[in-house]
Amino acid sequence: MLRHCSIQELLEVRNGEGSLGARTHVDECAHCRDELDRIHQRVAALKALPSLNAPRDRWSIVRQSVVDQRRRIWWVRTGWVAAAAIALALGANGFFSWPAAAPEQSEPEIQHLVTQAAQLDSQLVAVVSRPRVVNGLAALAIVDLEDQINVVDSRIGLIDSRVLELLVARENSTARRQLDTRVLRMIAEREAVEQQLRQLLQERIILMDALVNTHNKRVVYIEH
Amino acid sequence: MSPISLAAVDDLAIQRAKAGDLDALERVYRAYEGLVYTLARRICRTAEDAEDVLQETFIEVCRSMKQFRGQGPGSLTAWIKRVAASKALMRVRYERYRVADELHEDMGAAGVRDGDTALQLDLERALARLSDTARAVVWLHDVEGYKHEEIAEMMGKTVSFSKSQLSRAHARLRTMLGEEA
Repeated sequence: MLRHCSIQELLEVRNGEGSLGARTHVDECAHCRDELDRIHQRVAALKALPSLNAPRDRWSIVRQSVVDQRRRIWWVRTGWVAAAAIALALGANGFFSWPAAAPEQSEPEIQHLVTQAAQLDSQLVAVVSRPRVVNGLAALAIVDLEDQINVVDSRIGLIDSRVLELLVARENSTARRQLDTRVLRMIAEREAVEQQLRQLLQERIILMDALVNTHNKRVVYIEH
Repeated sequence: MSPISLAAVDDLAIQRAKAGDLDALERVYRAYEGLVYTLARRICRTAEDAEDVLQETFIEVCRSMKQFRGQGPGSLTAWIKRVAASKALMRVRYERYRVADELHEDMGAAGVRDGDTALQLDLERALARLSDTARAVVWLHDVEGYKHEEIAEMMGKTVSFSKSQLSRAHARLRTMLGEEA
């Protein structure tokens, strides 16, 4: 080489990736050797910079987030089991009669959706657990999807709470027969909530499916 | 950089953290908060952004800890650093940061022209005056030891982009530190 090496060429030589011409030139040129030494010294100085401490302790926020998320998951996983158990208990005690056919159709359907979502969760966990570097764009898409999923989870939790409140309120009532009209309204409301839950679960499945696909595409891309 | 104390996070603590034990997760947080904050602070523009990255990183770590398949504190360190790097890079990728990035680079150049002598800048200040992208690349490559392929993957850019940002960062550091031959 008749000219001095550029910084990019020197960095490549440092990383053992430089061309034969560049390496030979550095061996023979004092100017480029000095420049390479300066790069080494600069990097050593960067590595020697002191560690920094966060000005504020964020553990309490992190901890609260973990606790909140566990609560949401608990509601999603157990909310409908509890609701179904209460509903069955109330039905078995003859407190009221469920509208014909509707519960028998809706509960298995919801259970099927929950199972489908759980399967996607498992697939996602299996994919995410692979030690991959997260692509910036994919990471943004994942975060966006996860945010939406969290919102859906929260809404499901709220619906679960509402259903439980409605059922417990009726259980504790001392004038059940006089509340027949209200009970019918509650049942209708419950059905509306169930419909909303079905929509949310389907929405969640679509999101989880997209999330799994996003991860799979990323893995395929990296592996090729 | 001073080495972090990993004595508090032995294999038992990692297993407890994976099981969701909040005390063990706090030990992980305490052991790694300095490392994560330092990495985030070197990449992000402001201390507030770095604090947010610290928080987001550990929320992610706590959520995903049970899926961590590595063995021992060494692989835990690598995993947490990768999560932190991804979070920090995601933060600097926002549009408002890209706009600020260009402004920041221009301001740096103007400062040098105005006689803000490069010799007076220490390395830390010079690093802070790099563009967000160049600073992230030089830190991840030269200090954290990531390869260009990994950085390109994390940033959603090409390997050539990572290499050119690194050489750009070194050229600017060289100028700002008054290392002209």
